[in-house]
Amino acid sequence: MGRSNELADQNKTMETEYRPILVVDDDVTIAMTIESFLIEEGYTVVVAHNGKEAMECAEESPPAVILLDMKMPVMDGWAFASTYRQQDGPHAPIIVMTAAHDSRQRASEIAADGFIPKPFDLDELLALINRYISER
Amino acid sequence: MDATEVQNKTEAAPGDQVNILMVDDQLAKLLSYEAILADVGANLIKATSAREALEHLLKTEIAIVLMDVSMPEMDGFELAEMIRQHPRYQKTAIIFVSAVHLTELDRLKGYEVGAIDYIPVPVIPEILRAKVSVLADLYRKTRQLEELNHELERRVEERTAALEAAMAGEREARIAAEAATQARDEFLSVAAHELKTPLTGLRATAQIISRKLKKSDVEVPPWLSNGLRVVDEQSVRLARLIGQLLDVTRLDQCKLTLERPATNIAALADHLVTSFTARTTRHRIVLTAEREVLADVDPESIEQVLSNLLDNALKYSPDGGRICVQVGQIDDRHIFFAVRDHGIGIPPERRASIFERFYQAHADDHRSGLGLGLYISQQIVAQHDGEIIAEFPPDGGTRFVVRLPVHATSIARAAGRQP
Repeated sequence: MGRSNELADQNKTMETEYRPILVVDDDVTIAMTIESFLIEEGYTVVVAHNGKEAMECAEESPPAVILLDMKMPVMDGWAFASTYRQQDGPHAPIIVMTAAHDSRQRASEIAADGFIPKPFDLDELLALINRYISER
Repeated sequence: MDATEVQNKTEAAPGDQVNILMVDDQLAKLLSYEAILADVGANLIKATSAREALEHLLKTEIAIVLMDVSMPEMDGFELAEMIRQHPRYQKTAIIFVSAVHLTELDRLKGYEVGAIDYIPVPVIPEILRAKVSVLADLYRKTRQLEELNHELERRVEERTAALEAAMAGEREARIAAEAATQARDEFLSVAAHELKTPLTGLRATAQIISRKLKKSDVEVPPWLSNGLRVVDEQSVRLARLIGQLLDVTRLDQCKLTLERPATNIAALADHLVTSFTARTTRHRIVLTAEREVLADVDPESIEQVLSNLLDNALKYSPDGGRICVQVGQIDDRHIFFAVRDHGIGIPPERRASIFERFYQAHADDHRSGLGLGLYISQQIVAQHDGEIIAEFPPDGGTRFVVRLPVHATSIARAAGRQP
């Protein structure tokens, strides 16, 4: 269901069409892996390695969905979520992806829209992303 | 040292000396009192004036003051009042020697009963001796009692201090133990996080390669696709083992925080069966469930229980076969779920121990994990006030049944749906 796939494109609204998926993870390998996977699947992806970078990215190009790691240097997931939500304008849904033991707990701490525990299945990640993109 | 010893010691001490102060402006009278009281066994001190008496009182501990009422300068009543005003002498007994007038006796009423007495003139030696002896004895006994009290107080203080020190030591030890436990938990939590992070990259990479190969026109050799599937499966398995390590330490301290919203166990099972079906080609997983089976549970924990049971079912039926998952209502207040496999089963002699921690019914089998899955499952079920049992059908395999109470929220929700 790549971007080049016209059928898939029809399911996405014009608004989300040009909005990237913001991937926030301090682990470079994970961030890169997710990025290349999502690009392959036809999405536009912006990568940030901490909350501060993510804030800048979100400002520059408002994302359709945010995939958020929690434990990060400089500005962690908790701080990012609260700062991001204090900003004006529409807020993209946040999906927490964490290697923490109680991922559900982490997600509820920042009132995230969804969560996926690491290590995740790419199909499940994709399904989760699409659920939030189509909801908008 | 017991009370008797204390008493003996007090009696033997020189401090046991009782001092009697005799005050009269006539020395002859003092000498006659001295003669009368010689064998009372007290130290007799003479004073010929109120002033001299006061001087003695300041220097010496006086048990009894025997005084003439009528003296020049300061009379007996004035002296008595001065003595009484001093806190040290509040317990000093005073005996007035006086030709009794009614008016004078009235003045005695102002004094504390028992600490004051009078002897009429002429003095009858036996009466004076008797009164002084009684008061001296009373003084001695009172002092002994006080000393005993002090000793007891001191010992109580000692014991209290010792006890407090012991308690403080215990408290410190407990704080240290708690700190150590917390440090261990934090370490395990961080370690689990750090171990899962590379697994995330590993699993995602294996899946990406697998996907790219499928999309390409290249014919993928089975060893490659199988190899990638193994990497994927083993990543999941390793992640689960890491999770179990954390679970078991938390269970040990009953730290597993259980939030219990009304949860549809049927939907939860459906989700898991789908995900497990994707993992196996040899097994056929069949779910039999009512549409909605509600119970107040911690969804993650119960999912973990069901996941552990499915994991075991897959693991211990290596030749494949049917795996039956059932979810249903027992009655208004109880639900159940069961997982049945048709695999190798559990040898009868090992059945009793399967829920024990670190127990591996198939220890010789490379598929065995840490021996924690059933232990953790049972602990979780117990924390939900439920029970888990293993059944061994005659036609082979194993069936695990979990019974759980429904609890208030789910009962209310189910009732709300009734027309």
